[in-house]
Formats: sequence, structure tokens, C-alpha cells
Amino acid sequence: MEPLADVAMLPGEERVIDKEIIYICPFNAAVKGKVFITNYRLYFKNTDSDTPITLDVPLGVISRVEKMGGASSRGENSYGLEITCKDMRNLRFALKQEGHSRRDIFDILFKYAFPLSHGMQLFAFLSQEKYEENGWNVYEPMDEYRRQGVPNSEWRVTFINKSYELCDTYPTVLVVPYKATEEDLKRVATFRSRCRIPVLSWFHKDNHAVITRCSQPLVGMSGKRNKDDERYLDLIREANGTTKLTIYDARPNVNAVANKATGGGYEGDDAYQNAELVFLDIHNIHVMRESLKKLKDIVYPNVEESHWLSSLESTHWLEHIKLVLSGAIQVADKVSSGSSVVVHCSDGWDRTAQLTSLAMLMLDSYYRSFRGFQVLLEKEWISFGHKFASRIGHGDKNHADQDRSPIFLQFIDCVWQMTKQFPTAFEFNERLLVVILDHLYSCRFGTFLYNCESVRDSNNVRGKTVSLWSFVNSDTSLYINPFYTPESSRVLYPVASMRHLELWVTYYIRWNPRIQHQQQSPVEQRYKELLAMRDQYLKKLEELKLSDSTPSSTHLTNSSTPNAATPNQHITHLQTPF
Amino acid sequence: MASENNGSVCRVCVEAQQPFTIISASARAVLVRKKLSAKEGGGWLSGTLFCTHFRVAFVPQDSQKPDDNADPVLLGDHDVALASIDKVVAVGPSRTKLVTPTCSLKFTPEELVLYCRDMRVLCFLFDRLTPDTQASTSSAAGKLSLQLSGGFAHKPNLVTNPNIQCFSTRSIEMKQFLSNRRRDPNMNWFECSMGWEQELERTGASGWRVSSVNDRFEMSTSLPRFNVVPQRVLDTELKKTFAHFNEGRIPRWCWRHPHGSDLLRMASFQNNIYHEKDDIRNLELVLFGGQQLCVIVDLGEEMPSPADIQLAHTRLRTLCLGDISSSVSVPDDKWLSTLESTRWLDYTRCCLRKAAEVACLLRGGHMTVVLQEPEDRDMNCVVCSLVQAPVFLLFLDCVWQLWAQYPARFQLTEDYLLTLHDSVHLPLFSSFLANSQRERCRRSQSYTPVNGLRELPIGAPEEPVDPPFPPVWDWALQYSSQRRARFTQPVSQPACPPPHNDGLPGSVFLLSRSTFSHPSNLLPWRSGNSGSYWKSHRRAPSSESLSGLERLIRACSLSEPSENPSTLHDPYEPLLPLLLGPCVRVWRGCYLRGALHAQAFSHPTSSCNQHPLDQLAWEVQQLREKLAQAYHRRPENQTKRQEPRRLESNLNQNANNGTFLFSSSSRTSQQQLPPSSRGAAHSSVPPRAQRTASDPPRPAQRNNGKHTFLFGHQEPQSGQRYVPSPSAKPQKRAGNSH
Repeated sequence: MEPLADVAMLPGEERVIDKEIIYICPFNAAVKGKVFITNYRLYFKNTDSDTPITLDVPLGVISRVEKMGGASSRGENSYGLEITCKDMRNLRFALKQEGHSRRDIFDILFKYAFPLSHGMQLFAFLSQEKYEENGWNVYEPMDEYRRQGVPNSEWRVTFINKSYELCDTYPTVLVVPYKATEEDLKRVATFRSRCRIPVLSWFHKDNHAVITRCSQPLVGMSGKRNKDDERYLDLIREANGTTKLTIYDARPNVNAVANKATGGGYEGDDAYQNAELVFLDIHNIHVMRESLKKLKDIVYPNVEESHWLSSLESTHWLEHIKLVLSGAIQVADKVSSGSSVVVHCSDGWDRTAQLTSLAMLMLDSYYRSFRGFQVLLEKEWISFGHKFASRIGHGDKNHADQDRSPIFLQFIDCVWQMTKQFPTAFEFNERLLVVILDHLYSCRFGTFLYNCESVRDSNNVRGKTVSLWSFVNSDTSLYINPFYTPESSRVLYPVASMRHLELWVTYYIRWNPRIQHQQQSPVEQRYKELLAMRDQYLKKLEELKLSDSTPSSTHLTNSSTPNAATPNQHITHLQTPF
Repeated sequence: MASENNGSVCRVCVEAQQPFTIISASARAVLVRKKLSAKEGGGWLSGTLFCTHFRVAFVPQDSQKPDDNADPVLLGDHDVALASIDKVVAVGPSRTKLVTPTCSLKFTPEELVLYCRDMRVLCFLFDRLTPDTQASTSSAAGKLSLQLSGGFAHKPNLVTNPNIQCFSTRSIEMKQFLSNRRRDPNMNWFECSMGWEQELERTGASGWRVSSVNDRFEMSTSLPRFNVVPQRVLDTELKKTFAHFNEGRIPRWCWRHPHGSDLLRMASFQNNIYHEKDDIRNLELVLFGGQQLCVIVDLGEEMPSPADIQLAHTRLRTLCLGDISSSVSVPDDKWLSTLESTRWLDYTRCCLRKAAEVACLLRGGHMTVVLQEPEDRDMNCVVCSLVQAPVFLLFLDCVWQLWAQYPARFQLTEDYLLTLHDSVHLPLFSSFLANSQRERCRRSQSYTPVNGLRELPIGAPEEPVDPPFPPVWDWALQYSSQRRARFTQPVSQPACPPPHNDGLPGSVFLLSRSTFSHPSNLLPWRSGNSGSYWKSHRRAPSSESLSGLERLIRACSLSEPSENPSTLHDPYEPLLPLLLGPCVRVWRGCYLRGALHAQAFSHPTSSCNQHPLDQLAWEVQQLREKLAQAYHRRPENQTKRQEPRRLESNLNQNANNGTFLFSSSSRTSQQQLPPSSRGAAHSSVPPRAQRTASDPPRPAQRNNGKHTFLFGHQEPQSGQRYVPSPSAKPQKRAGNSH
């Protein structure tokens, strides 16, 4: 392990270039120092004062690198680089104007920040990190379905997709209605966008109601129908005797109608007579991307001071969070009342994943445990083909790609809102959520790479990269919520109202030094102090007992003796003023 | 059988049979279900609803009969004082109606919603029984609604005319009960010179003394009787300074920072007064204390006026409570901007910012910081309950913001702040009812000027007098011990002994809008036209000290990240609030607890369990006590057994930091009273704490065990429980036969 300034480099990390540079810190003045670039990170350390100012930025976080000013630009620090990051910050560096001083560093940054655009490998494939636990084993589909109580007389496991022939964005193991044949599945696949047929996500052990997920039906302008699809949805309904199957279409009604123009659409009343359709009004990936952009504008680098709340309102970020949460609440409520549901949006990999995973988090306390949450992410997001590569743009230079969108961040934000409202219901803490988001971008682990299982398989991600869970599970103490009190039976319904949602300040505004020292939750800090105090007292008590082991224990047997002193003392104290 | 006497549905409580209640013959009792908030565990709770002159009481059906030995509490966990109620709304099958004393209900209410001034919302559902009894229920429900609205409609009288005794203390029993309350002797009431001397000693402030020059309120009617002024100013000299300040509110010492700065407060200068030579010397002395530097912080200009705060608070209340009768509620997607437009959070931030600036100045040491506002009474003074400006509520909100940012640095808990918040609305406490010590004294005829502690008159007085109002700090009067236990965190941070310093009078600066200046007319007697200010005395404020001051302030407004985490634990470091927009938040636990619609889906985190933090804190406290005991038991420690305990109470007091007049040591130690000390405790402490785990539980007796004002079927001897000394007995008897 070669030291890099004062941080240890990761196994497999290699130094590429270092350079004298000026970091234009938005919170202080310009800072002179040295920047180190490796194949994994950009590291800056100041050289101009004893108070250390450092930056440690994984290159995967970078969405855009630009040149700032030209060789003839006037003004101090006007010549340099501007780096836009995916994690709510921008970095500006200035260099000497003479001799094209920024050319090499710009080229290297551009190359290593966007390796896929330059025919190079993501760092996850170069990393040599070793951990005791293999995080790739966290999620075993069959184990998880068995935990839920599947297969059973109503639901069966099918391996029809074992070589991704039915649907190339679905996992290999699927759970479908017992009565549906393999032929049925193939015919239904023709009527669902990208062949993403309705399959089971979660099974309610007591009332046998299920959450199933899929993509939109291919209704089109002409209003096509498909008997197999209609019958298949009815099989889902029948499985536990639900009278009316509820189909949650995550989109706003108008968007669902508009999708007919491109061959999609929604389940019509005539075709699906035993089903009711509910639109959940959650907007698409483009709306979410713009909303987050607005949020970044009001929190970085400076927090909007005078009209903070109305500025926040105008980003609509919390409103979107609210709609996602209240959609999930409706799903969870329906299922816990015994009715089976189908959830879809357009392709069934963005809003659908948000809704099913949040509803499962509300319904099933297992997913609120430290391990269970990892299983939830592996299952509903990673294996069911949330397009991480497209949404995040790993290693890709095309920062303006319209496929990019903070859908997963929005989901994690919803989870955070739930942990805020139910501080004792989750085994993990806020720090785990932040670490997940940091490594969503970092490309250090294979967990969030690529769009779906089939591509992950062909790139041998499990064999060639380390799982994020290997890293996280190697030191769980950092991420454990000390207040966790497991409770299995209750459904958690968060309050999805603007009155009760909060901006996740310690994530979105964490780069602001005026927020920073709140990083550690004060309550948690207090709890740790108390724990330390308890241990200390216990130890002292133990010591006292040990040294007391001489038979002078007559005092110990008569417990009223020491007590008597207290009230007497107290009463004299009380009477003195009179 | 008259419908209202039907025991299964309604009961009418008759005063004559229940001497220890304040209930009137017209009070109604109705079987209802109360909607429980998320914090209470959610769902519905069946019980009986009563309305008395003082409160609306809800008694859960299967509630445990309170211990006969326990003191009655004024308000049970489910009760609300009439004075706290803002609006009563009756909900019928198809409509809702705001109930007023003059209106009549033309429908059968199914639900009664009480909107409270303290932002609680209570919702009661009238149980529908058989059709037979339904009629009587509904009639009773209707009457109850009217009764309620009639009850709280009287309230304005009480506030606008403070001479009218409030009906809560009209009843004889109540009077007697209140007469027998004693002040917590461990608490500093700041009403006698001793209180202030203690505070000077506690903060290590030298060079200051307690002056009794205002003992008869002759110098200033609104100032307290005792005030802290520089030692070097004699009372005869001091007397001449009063005329130079609005309402005679001269600069008075409030607090000393461990780094040696003194915090003073005063009203604005009377400018049209001629300054005699001697006056000027005295004025300078009074303003500078022993310090060389004086910063006058102008609160008049940038701080919100009481009217602003009143408006903001009204808006906030309207916004947070919503109102089902008017069906005008702010759409959820406009919540943030509407909240912003109340300006409440702006004002909170404004106060916090100013306080942080002052804290930073004080931290700098060696100066007096004088808070000046024209009246010197609003931003600082405790306000009369209701109607008047909710300035005090703004202060509580500020304290909550600090608490929310640094919970580990407070001994008090959110429950405590919440309770204080709610108490402001009760027209019962001397602490909040009067405007000044003078008014408080006039109300309590029985005060003794010797030591300021209210003593009961010895021997029977010629005629019954109204008892003084109890102070709000008499928590046992209001709340059960379990609830009071939630007011403090058992373990608090230790503090260090304060240093001291001295200096000579010199430069004076004005701090206004976060900038320093030294306008020539800042001190009227120093300005040219006021005549006889000694030229030799005038010192041009050095630019060096100016920039030094600015540096102090900058530290607070930027609140740089502390690279050194140890500074966070420096006991002299002020708790500087984070003032960024996202950091100043709405106090949901208080303002939004009434928002029923938001709770519809909410499930409690854990219905009956304590928060794990409280649980652990309790454990630590137990361990600490165990440790102390184990330590005493050791033979070599038998002689100095009392020491660790005293140390502990000192720690607690220091942690209070003078912000709140609250003595925690008394609470903990009272709870430790074993049964054997009962006889001794009788004469000095309220008997509430006497029951310990070793006491056998009393058998529950129907109709007999309840021991609040409402139900007190009195056992002969329990009446005497509240008599602290035999001499007070005759008075009590006279009251009973009345």
C-alpha cells in the first residue's frame, strides 16, 4: 500500500499525476496545495497553512470536467478547471496561466473520470480489495422467496428465464401464479413492454396477498387487447381470492395516455373487468432530474438565506418524495388489507422499483434489518433491472444524457424520511444510507454497475469485482442504529405530508462547513456518551465489589442502612431555609 | 328516570357531595371515546368526559384509581384547561359547526373537536349506544358543547381585568389547596437579595452588589425590588440615575461569563435631561461596571416588535391547527411557503442570531454588554398569559431550536419545554400572570418582606383571603411524578469553576445590525451639547478594539467548522446556533401535534416503551446511585458519606447554567424517600413522593379511589394531608363549612 499524501491508497489504486494547484474553495478563500490523481480518486491537500484542507473525491463522482477561462483571461485564478459532481457539489481549481499548465491534468482527469468513453475499465475491475465476507452472497433468490413462504400451492418458481430468453432485463429466478404455464408466460411477455411480465415481489404470509411488478401493457393507439395477459392478471387475483385486483400505475393519468402513442398504455376497464386501476401521479425521470438540479442550485455552494422555505418548495423535490411515499403507502395498505396488487409504470424499472421496495419496507420488518435492507436492494433494484448504468452514467462522459436521473437517490431519501419518522424501526443508521449513495457513484464496487443481471453476468461482475456489502459488512458497527427495537408485526405507515417531510440536510448540504459538525446525529452521540458512561459505572461497580469481597458484607445484606442516610440528609437540607 | 341521571350514560356531579372538587352542579359527564395522538399510542380510548369551571376532564374507563396519598394534580394526562381552549367544533353526521355560547346546535354531534391555544387538538367521539340511550347521549353532548364554549368564553374577563379572581381559584377547596403549596426552597426565585447574591457567587462576579434601593418600588415600579449594580456606586448615587432611563429601568447586571464579561440590560436613555457632573460619573460607572469596554446592543431596531410576533404567532397557529369548521386549510404543497410567510421562523432566527452575537461578545471577555431596547421589557420579559404578545413563546421556540441542535448540552428535555409552553396558557400561575414583581407582590398578600419566601400567615386570619397564585415551577401541582420525571435528562454535563478579572472604564460601542459603531451621541451625557462631561474622561475608541470586536462577531455569524472537536466540549464555549435556513426548523412536536389529519396513518414508534435514550439514561442514573451507595458502604468511606451526593447536585446546578430556574436535585432526592421517613417528611415536603415500590398497592375502590379535584370522595384524614402545620388547620375548617 503506497501512501498518497496522508491517505492510504486502495489495493489496485495507482498514482497517475500530481500537480501544484489552487483549490477555489467556495466556503473559504482560494487554497494553495497539491492535487494527486490516481485511477480511483482526486485527492487535494493544501500546502499553505497548518489547518488541513483536503478533498477526497472518487473519480466516479465526476459528471463533467470543463476548462475555465483561457490563457489570456484576466483576473486572479481565472484559468483552470471546473468539475461538476454527481453528489451535490462542484469543484474549481486554478492553475498558472503560463505554458498550458492545465492541459495534462485536464486530459488525465477526462480519461480516468470517464474510462468507458476511453476504452478503459472501471476501477471496480482493477481494485484488489479483499474482505472476509463475500458480499455477493448476501442475496440468494431462492432463500429469500423461501423466507417469504414461496413456493406454495398458489405461487411457483420458474426458471424459464435462466438464460435471459424470456426477458433480458429480469433475473433468472421468477415467481409466477401456480396455474400459469410456461407457454402462458411467453404469450404474456409479448404484450408487456420489454417482456417484463407481472411476477411476484412479495408474499403476505397471513393473508396471502401479493405485490407483483411488471411494465406497461402494449395497448397502443388502437387499444389492443391480449386475452392471455387478461387471464394472467386474473390468475394473480384468484390466487388468494381477492375480489378486485388493484393495478397501481405509478404515472400521472395523462402520461399513461400519452404512452399509447409509443405503443404503451394502461389496463382498460373493459379488458380487465376484475381489476381497478389507480394512477399514483409520480412524474418521470426527466422531471426528477430537473427537480434535483434546482435543489442543487439552492444549496450549493451557498444556502439560499432569505426565502429558504419557498425556494425549497419551488424545487418540488419534497413534493415528489411525498408522492412516491404516499403511493407506496397505498400499495402497502391494500396488501395488508388482503388484496393483491400489480405495480407498474412504463418499463417497470424506475418508479415501480421505488414503490414495491418502499411498500415492502413498510410491510416486512425483515427489510428494515441491516441484512434485510441489503437483500431488498439486491432484489428489487439490482436483480430486477433498475438501469443503474444509464441513470448514473458510470464512467461515461456524456453528462447531458437524457437517461440520467436520480431515481435511486430519491428512493434512499424516502427511506431516510421513514427512518426519521420511525427512529427505532430500522437496524441501520443514516450513515449506511450515505455510504450507499457515495458508492452508487464511486465505481469502487461492482454492486451498482450495469443495467441488469444479464449484462452483469456477461461482464462477470461477481467474479471480477468486490461487492459493496463485503465492505459494509466488514465493519457493521459504524452503520448500526443503537435505538433499533425489532418489532415484527406492525406495518409502518410514514406520514406523507409536507408538514412532516424534511430535507435531508446532512446529505444534500453536507459539503457546507456550517452544516458539517451535525454529521453525527446529536441523539446518537448522546446515546454513545451514555453507553460509555454506563460501561464506566459498571466497571467501577465491579471493581468496588471485587475489593469488597472481604466478609464485611453485612452492609450489603441490610440494604436499608445506606438508604437511611439519604432522607435524613435531605430533610435537614429542606429545612434550612425556614 | 331523567336522561342525564342515567348512570350508564351520563352523570351529573353534585358539588355538595364532593367537597374537594371545583365542579359545579351544571358540569356534565358523558361517555365518549378520545382519539389518541400518535405519541399517546394512537387509536381510541373510552372514558367519561367532564366539564368543570376549570377544565375539560377525560377519565379513561379502566384507568387506575389514583393513589389516595398522591397529591391531586390540577390537570390529568387527558385533561385540558378551559382557558387553553380556543375553539369548540361540533361534528354532525353531515356538517360541522363552530360552537359558541349563544348559538344552538340543531344537529346531534357525533364528534367534538377542541382546538387549543397551545396548538393541541383534542377529538372526542360520542359513543352511539342503543337508540334508546342515544337520545340522552346526544342531548348531553349538545349541552356539554355549549357548556364548554360558555366556559372558555369567560376567559377574556380574567385577562383584561386582572382584579377579577379567575374562576379556577374561586372555589374554597382550590383556595385552600393552593394556600398550602410551598415553594421549592432549593430554587432561586430571584425575589430576595439573597437570590441575587447567590447568583453573583455562582457566576463568580466580583465588583457587583445587590441594591435594595427599589425595595418599595419607588425608583421604578416595573423593576424588581432588588437589582444588581456596580459595587462602587452607592445607593444615594444610584438614586440619581433612575431619571435618566425610560421607566427608571437603569442598567442592571444579569450574568457574568466565565471569561469575565458582564451582561447587563437597560431601557433607552431619557435624552431631554440635563446631566450634572456627578450624574455623569455615576452613569458611566453603572454602565461600565468594572470593565474598560462597553458594547450597547440595540434590540429596538432590528428585533420584531411584540405586534409583529403576535401576528406571526396567530398566523402560525392558524396554519398549524387547520380548522375543520371553516374547511379552509392550506394545501399541502403550499405548506413550506405559507410557513415561511408567517415569519415565525424568521423571528426565531433573528433572536437566535442576536443572542449568538451577544454570546460571542461575552466570550471575548473584559467588557460589559448592555442590551438596550426602548421599553426594556418585551424581548426579555415574561409575558402575561393569553391575548398579549407571545414573546415568551418565541423565546421558548428559540430554546427549542438550540435544544434540537445540541440536545446533549441540556439537562432539560423537549417534554419540559412543551409543558412550559402549555402552561403559559393557563391563567393560574403567578409566573405568567403579572407583569412585574410589584404586581406579583400585590396579588399575594401574604408575602413576607424579610426573606421573600411566601410564608403562611401564622394563626387564623380575620377573614378568608384569596390565596396567592402558585408559580408555574410548582410542577407537582400540575403533573404526575412520571410526567415530571420526563422533564430532565438524568445525566448532564459537568461544568468548571469560573475565573474573574477587573479593569477601568473606557470605550463604548454600539452594536446594531451586526456592525459596530461609536456614534457621538450614543451616551447622551458624552455628546457635546449635554455640557459637563469631563474632557479628560473621553477616550477615542481605538480602531484596534473595534476590529477586535468585529472579529468576535464574525466567529459567530460564520460559525466556522471547528477543526478541533474538543472546542465543542469546552464548557465556556457558547452553544452557537446554526442559523442556515434548513437548520431553523418548525417545532413539530409542539405546533403540529394537533394536526389530526397527519396522524391518520401514523403509527407510534413504540406505544408504551420509553425512547431507548431515556431508558439508557435512566439505567445510567440507577448505576450512578448504586455506585454512590456501594461507595458509602465501604468502611473507609463511612465518615465522608455525604460528599459524592453533594458533588452530584452541584453538577446538576451548574449544568442548569442559570437559564432555567429549575432544581433537579430536589426531584431526585425526594423520590428517594423511603416509607420510614414519612412522618418527618410530612411537615416539609408534599406527600406525593412517599409511595415507593415497597408499599403495597391499595385496593381499588369504585367511586372512592379517584383523587383529583373532580372526583375527590374524601377520606376524613386525607384532608389533613394538605395541611402543612397545625396552625393552618382552623383556616381550612372554616373553608369547608363555608
